[in-house]
Amino acid sequence: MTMLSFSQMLAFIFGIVLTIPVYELLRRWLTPILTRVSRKKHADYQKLLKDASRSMSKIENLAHLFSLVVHFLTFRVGIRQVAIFTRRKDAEGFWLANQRGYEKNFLEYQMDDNHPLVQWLHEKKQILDVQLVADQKLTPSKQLDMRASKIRTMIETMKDFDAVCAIPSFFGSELKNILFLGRKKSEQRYTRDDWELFYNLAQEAAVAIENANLFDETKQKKNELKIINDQLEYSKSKLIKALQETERANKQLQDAQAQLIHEQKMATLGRLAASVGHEVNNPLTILSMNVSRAILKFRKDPTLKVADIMDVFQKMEQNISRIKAVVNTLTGLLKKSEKGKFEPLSLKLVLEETLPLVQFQTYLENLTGTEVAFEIPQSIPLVRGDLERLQEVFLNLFINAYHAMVGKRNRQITVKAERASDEEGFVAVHFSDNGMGMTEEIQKKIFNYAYTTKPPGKGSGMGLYMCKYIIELHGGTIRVNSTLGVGTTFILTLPIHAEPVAKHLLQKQD
Amino acid sequence: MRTLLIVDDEIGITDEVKSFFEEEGYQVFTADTAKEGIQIVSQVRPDVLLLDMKLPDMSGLNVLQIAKAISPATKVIVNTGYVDQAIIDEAAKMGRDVFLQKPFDLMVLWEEVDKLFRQTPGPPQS
Ligand SMILES: Nc1ncnc2c1ncn2[C@@H]1O[C@H](COP(=O)(O)OP(=O)(O)OP(=O)(O)O)[C@@H](O)[C@H]1O
Ligand SMILES: [Mg+2]
Repeated sequence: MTMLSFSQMLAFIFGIVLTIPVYELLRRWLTPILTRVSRKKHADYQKLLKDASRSMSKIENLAHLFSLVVHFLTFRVGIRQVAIFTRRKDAEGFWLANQRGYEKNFLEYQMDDNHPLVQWLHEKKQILDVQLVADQKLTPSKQLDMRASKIRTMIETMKDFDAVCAIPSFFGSELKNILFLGRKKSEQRYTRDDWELFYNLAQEAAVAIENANLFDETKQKKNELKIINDQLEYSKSKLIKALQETERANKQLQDAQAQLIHEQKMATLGRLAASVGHEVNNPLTILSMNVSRAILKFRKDPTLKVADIMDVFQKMEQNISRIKAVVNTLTGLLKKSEKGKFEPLSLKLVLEETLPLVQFQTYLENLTGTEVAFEIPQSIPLVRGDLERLQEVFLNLFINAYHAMVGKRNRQITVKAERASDEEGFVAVHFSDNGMGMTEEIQKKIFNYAYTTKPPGKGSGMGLYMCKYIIELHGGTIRVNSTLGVGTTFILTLPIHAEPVAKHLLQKQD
Repeated sequence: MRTLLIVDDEIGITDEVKSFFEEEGYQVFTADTAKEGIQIVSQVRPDVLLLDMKLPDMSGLNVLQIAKAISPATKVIVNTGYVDQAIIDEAAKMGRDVFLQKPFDLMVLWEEVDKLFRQTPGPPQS
């Protein structure tokens, strides 16, 4: 929070600095100074310098300050060539900070600390007149080694910049800047007053430059902070964005899930409609056919006795009870799944709880001595279903298998479960026996209502028909795989009882 | 003799239709799988085919397509226990002559079959 307000403040300050026409300020302050200087009103120098420095101190951008000073000296004061050297912050020596009026701009120009010119200015702390150097009228000094070679270097450097003088400026006792001035455009010679003014100006400029320098540094630090802050802000905004995206994704997931639930409901409704359509409309068709057959018979022979067409009435009764069974199964399941949901069921438990029913039935029918193995891995998820109805399904499969294995020696029933490979969200149950198996023709018909190969009284052909109906009401499928004389496998799929998708994902993200 | 083939996995239906139309003087064939149905179509080329859309081994639509290809003269009455508009539309495209929604009455069926015979002069009744 503090960082944020700090950077905001900084941005505010930058904004102001940049909007102030800096050059205008400088011009407004310096122009009167220089006009008055040209009138050589020596008495006003102090005040003027103060004004000048004040205006300079307002400029906080170092590069800008340099260019303005140079611009001013060349354009306003009318000096042909101006170059400013300033002390390097990071290394020894001076670098060319700004230049104007040269035929060719120097790309780069450095003077190290033992450059004779630097040494001289540092030691003498006064303006160096190139004429004095050329005339070898430099005052000798103990500290300074002013051999001819050194003096030549000084002259060469000043020649490079067409300088008539070099003006040092100091901050404290440290040499900070060196200003090279060329000749005046007016070709007038510099006066003593000019020197003095420039010297003093240079000192003021040094302060301003130092301030600008400091400001630059702090600005840089602040900039760094700002960059860090910006980066933080950026990462923060990215984080927020990511969070928002996650939220949006979650929302979408939830919507999708709601849609899915809706679609599932629709699918369930559709499935129910299809099941009811087929399973009720078929016996209903038969029933109505029975009825019209009876009516027609009576029309043809009004003397017909009821006993004569008893078979038709029996068929009617049969179909009515079939419709009842179908409707009861459906309404029974609907009642249990009032919220539109089946209960989560463990397949293993369903099977294990079916076994006593199987044993009771097989005991009644004298069908014993069969090995039953369940191969249901721990990893098999719970299925969505109705316990009693699924037990009914498995009981039918068990009884059919027992019937198919009558007379066989090593009777074996195996129930395997796995995640359905071809259908996402389903468990596949393989219910196998090593009984007599069946032909392909029979396999096609076993799920038909009332199809049986068993003698009358032994089988009604209802078993697998109801199995299919129940499994399909669960949203699953049932099919058969059989080899005559080898055995039969029924493959059932049942829907996995899944947690709501979005909730599950949310937990993951936590 | 007028020939009629019923393809339906509901034995109750095939039984009733068979006995009724036989009494009306038709020669009636029944099949409870698509495969059997197609076999009979190619062998008998019935005048009318009463075809259920839901069969254990194949979609009724496929049977319709194959039947119309094998025996273009055969009139087809398509019926279903469940209104699946897509299937109904598809059957119409494939050239079914009549669509009946289950449950339907023998009288209705008889009327429809009779209409089909009146539309195009069938083989003379014996
Ligand atoms: N495990 C199996 N092995 C061989 N044939 C089978 C097996 N299960 C079913 N069948 C065949 O499928 C037919 C239909 O089975 P379904 O359970 O529907 O009726 P059913 O057993 O004959 O009579 P119900 O179950 O009504 O007493 C059986 O008569 C039998 O021919
Ligand atoms: Mg059975």
